[in-house]
Amino acid sequence: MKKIMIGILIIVCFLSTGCYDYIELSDRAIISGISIDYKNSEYEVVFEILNPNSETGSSDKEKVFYAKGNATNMTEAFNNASLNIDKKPYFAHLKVLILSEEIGKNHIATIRDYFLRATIFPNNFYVVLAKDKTAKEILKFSIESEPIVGETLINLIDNNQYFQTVAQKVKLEDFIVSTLDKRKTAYLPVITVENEKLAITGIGIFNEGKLKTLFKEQEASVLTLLQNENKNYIMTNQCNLDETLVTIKEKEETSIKKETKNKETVNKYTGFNITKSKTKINVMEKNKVKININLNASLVQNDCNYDLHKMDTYEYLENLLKQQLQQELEAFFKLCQENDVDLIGFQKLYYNKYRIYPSDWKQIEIEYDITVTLSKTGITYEVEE
Amino acid sequence: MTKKQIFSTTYFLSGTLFLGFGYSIMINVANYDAWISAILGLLIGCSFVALIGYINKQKGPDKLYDYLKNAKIFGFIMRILLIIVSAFMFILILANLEIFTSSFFFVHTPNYMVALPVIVLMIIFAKNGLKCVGRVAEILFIISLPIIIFICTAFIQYIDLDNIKPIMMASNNQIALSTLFFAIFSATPYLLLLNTEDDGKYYVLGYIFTAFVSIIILFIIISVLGPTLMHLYQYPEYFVLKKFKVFGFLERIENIVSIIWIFNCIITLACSSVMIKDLFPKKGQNITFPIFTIILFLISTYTINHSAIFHSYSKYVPYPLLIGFFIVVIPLSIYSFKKNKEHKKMKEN
Amino acid sequence: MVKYMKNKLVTDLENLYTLNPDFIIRELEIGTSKIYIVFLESVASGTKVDGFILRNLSRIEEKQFNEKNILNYISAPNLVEIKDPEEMDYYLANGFTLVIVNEMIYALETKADLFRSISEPTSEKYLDGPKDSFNENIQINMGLIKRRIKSSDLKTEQMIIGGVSKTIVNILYMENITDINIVKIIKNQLEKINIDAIYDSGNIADFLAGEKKTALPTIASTERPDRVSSSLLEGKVIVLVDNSPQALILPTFFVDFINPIGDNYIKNNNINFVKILRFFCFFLTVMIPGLYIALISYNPEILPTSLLINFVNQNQNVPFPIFVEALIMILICEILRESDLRFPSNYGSAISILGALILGEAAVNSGIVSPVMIIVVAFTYITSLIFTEIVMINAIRHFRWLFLISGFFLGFYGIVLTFIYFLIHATNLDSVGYPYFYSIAPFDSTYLKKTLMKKPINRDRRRSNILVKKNVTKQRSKI
Repeated sequence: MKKIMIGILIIVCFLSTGCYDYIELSDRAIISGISIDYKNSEYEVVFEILNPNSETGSSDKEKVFYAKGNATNMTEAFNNASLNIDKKPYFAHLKVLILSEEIGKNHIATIRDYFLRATIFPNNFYVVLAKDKTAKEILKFSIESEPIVGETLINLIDNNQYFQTVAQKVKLEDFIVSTLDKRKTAYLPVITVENEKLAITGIGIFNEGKLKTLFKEQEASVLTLLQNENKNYIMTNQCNLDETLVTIKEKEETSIKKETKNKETVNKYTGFNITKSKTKINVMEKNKVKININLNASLVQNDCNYDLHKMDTYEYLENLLKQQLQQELEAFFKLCQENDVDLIGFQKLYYNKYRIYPSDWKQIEIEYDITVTLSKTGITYEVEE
Repeated sequence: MTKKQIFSTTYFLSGTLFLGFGYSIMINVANYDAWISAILGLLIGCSFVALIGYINKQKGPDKLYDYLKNAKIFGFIMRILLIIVSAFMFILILANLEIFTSSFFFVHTPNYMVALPVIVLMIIFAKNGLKCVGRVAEILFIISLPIIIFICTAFIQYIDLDNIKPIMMASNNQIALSTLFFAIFSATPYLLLLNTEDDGKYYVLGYIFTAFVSIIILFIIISVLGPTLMHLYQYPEYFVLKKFKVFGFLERIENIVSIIWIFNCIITLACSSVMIKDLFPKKGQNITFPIFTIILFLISTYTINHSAIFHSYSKYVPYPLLIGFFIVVIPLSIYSFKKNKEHKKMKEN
Repeated sequence: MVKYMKNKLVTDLENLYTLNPDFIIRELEIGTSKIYIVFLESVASGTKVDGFILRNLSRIEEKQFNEKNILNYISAPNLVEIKDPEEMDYYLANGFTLVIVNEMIYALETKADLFRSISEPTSEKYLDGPKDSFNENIQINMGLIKRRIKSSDLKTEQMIIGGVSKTIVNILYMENITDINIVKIIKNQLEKINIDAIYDSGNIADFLAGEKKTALPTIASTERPDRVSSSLLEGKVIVLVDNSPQALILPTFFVDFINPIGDNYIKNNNINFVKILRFFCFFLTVMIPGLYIALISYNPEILPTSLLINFVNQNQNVPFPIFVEALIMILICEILRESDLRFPSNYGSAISILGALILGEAAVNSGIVSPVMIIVVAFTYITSLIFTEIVMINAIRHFRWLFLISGFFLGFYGIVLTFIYFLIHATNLDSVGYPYFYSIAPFDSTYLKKTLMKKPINRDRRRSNILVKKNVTKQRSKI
């Protein structure tokens, strides 16, 4: 009797459960990218769905197809978009979310709430901003060699660091946290279409959850340098441009360059590549900040024909770099002040030390302590004519 | 139960109540200093566990039912109180397990269908006794420990020490309260182990080990998620696993790794059903016990049908646990102290 | 005319053995006494009868003969004096020759050689190690064991089971090592058997295992004498049955079924890795179809995206849900395996070509199954080929179905619950009173290192604590 009861219980357990959540693999539409626009007071949502019927090597079939939905709020927009697909939308493999500038300026709060609350979205996908084009156009910009936009964007941001680090990838969770927390800096990489290919052009800075400005590549690199995330940084210096930049005596300056036949020095540049950098920022007193940067530089281009056999040249070049970097940092800080964004991280350090937020962070003095080591100069000395 | 089995069982028992309640309650009270209060809570919890060890030692090798046979009224009241406390823990943990699995694993399946197989397993456990629970716990411990070590080492790259600075921002009241909560959550399930023959030494050892692991997990949650996200989620210990990425391809495994929490819940439910069965009168045990389990199951699913009720009342969970613990443990310890005195007097005579 | 009164015993025997053309009576007259020599020609060997009895008796001089000294004239190694005439047909059936002189009956052993010679084992073949195996003759089997255990502590208790077959069953144990309770339990169980005939040790294995219904095997049967001898020295008890080449080893634990004894003859360092791998193969082969279905249908986020696209691509062409595909493939593989066991290999390899065709390209191209499912099921069966004992294969099949069904209905959570059910079930079994999941659940490192890993010979000094109470340390040689 007891065995029959237990047997019935077990059968009831099994037969009535799983048909609710069992979804056949071929009933799922795998979505790898979403783009959100805001036009005519309506949200426009586009999904990029991977096409499983494509075979490798055949170019007639497309690798992705799209579904679009328009509505006045996010819930209905997503619903309208998924009405265009013949399978159940499956978001767990979502790779990238593309937002337009309009959304960055006014609608981050809606996006934030929608993506964090639902359990169907993962929260480890990346977010980018679109510039000069709508987000939809960037999502649909799939060419034959890079058909899936989600993977292309991630690879683009990862691999842009070979010569100059412009931006790092930003995950949704980190982005939302940085817009909510006063102590963090919120930014997103900006993507546009250049020369018929997707490219990164700087970063977009957020303040209190709204998009403020877009920085260009060089300023973006300075930001990554300050946050210790920089892998490569480029500095160029025009020869003979500003004599006040040089702090060595004049007659020694001529002695550090080699005699060459070609005396033209206009529009010639020296190029440096900074390979290792370490930044430390400390709060000294209530309104003083000390920035401590250690750099390892290597010489890449030597059009000015500096004489690399002498020790003085290296000192001179290191001083040159120091001055140039300090100039760039000061210009960066001015930009920050104008745009009212705290990118140096002063508020966080102040809070960690004094346990309250500073009243006014713009009136601070910065003391720079930069040390540059010119460690490599390439495998040639000078290329003479 | 041998020593290793007791160690493994206590490992699962102490970690259960942290699943939905422990971490989020402590974080809401003490913000990002919760890990400091956890370290202090370890010491208080040790004293709770030592009390239970004392009762066990005086009890000797009898079961609790036989030990309480002589004192009729007192024994009867104690048995009923113990059954009520064990049943309360059973309902709590079963409801928690249901809501946990149906939020993440089964979105469309109704709650009670998820709990039915667990009830069948509990009836089988109760038939076979505490010995069976010990053996299963031993094997599950061997599976569960490497997973936790693997995860803790993989999260070192995501720890951001800025998230816990500045230290000791919370007020003294808050830290004291969250210390007490830690002790309650980790030490109260030891009530279910009053039927063994251990003299308390392995209880305390197992408690220290498990509390240490819980502290490490709490530290990881606070430092990885950060101050904003910690308060946001109801199950921070699940969401911290979403950041996991190792070897370039192993990611999104939070559903697989969450089985360590399911093991915790099942072993605790098994211990409580064995405890309830041992306290019932021996005559009709084969029929009354399954009916009792089914009644508990119905209570847990129909009163906690909406997850909103569960989440809004989950803040108040530690208080009935504290009261229940001391109502049972203090009279029992006084009783065993008196009996020990009588034994000594009889031996002298 | 003097009428000879035939011996009453002989007439009784004649009446019993009517219609038995192999029943032979030889009369000899020496002096005044009549000696009757009775044997069954099919089970007794004529040459031995002749050599031991007839030749000697025919040379006796009549004067010296005395009935009571007849034993001095017969040379047979095994001689029994029968007091009870009821036992005569038992001895006759066992190949003994009866020598009847007036009221005295003597039985002399003259068995015919009705058994195979010692050959190689059929199912436990290893590359290294001894290659002799048990036979149908119980004396030869005992001899093979006693060659390896040359000690007088090896005791044997003999029982006779089966009303008609009267099969000899021997229970062997080492007196200075084994716990005597096991022997008593086994004897009690065997005495309850009330049956006509037993033909093989497999008939009584089921009975010895007790009344619990379980798919997992609790008794091991083997044809190798070296495995039997090493089990005896660990404190286990052996049951040998006449007419059966399989010996039973009791009590057997789960960890004993996993590794073969041929590992002990191979170098130590190379073999530990494979031994641990085999242990995990048990769980792999049981859980993989269920895990695959659970992960693909409930949790596909674990797979990397490109792999998932490939799976979806393959599953598009198949009309059945994944569960039905898995069922079809597993059923086909089970049928293939059964046919492989039965079909005589003389008929050629055309059958295996058929099987390969079904499982190969043709099934995929016709749209019945997807290639991934073939890989998964093939992997399952390859890992199950590690276990050669049929009892273990049946147990694996039973649990594989259980995991498959629970993976389909409840996903990964269901597989976890079924795993816990398996643990409860296995840890609650007992094999002759000892816990079945012995080295793992009540943890014992000495026994674990012997079965799941290999200890070098000079460090293998202790026996396990649960089976052996006295003489836990192994004996060193005195020379």
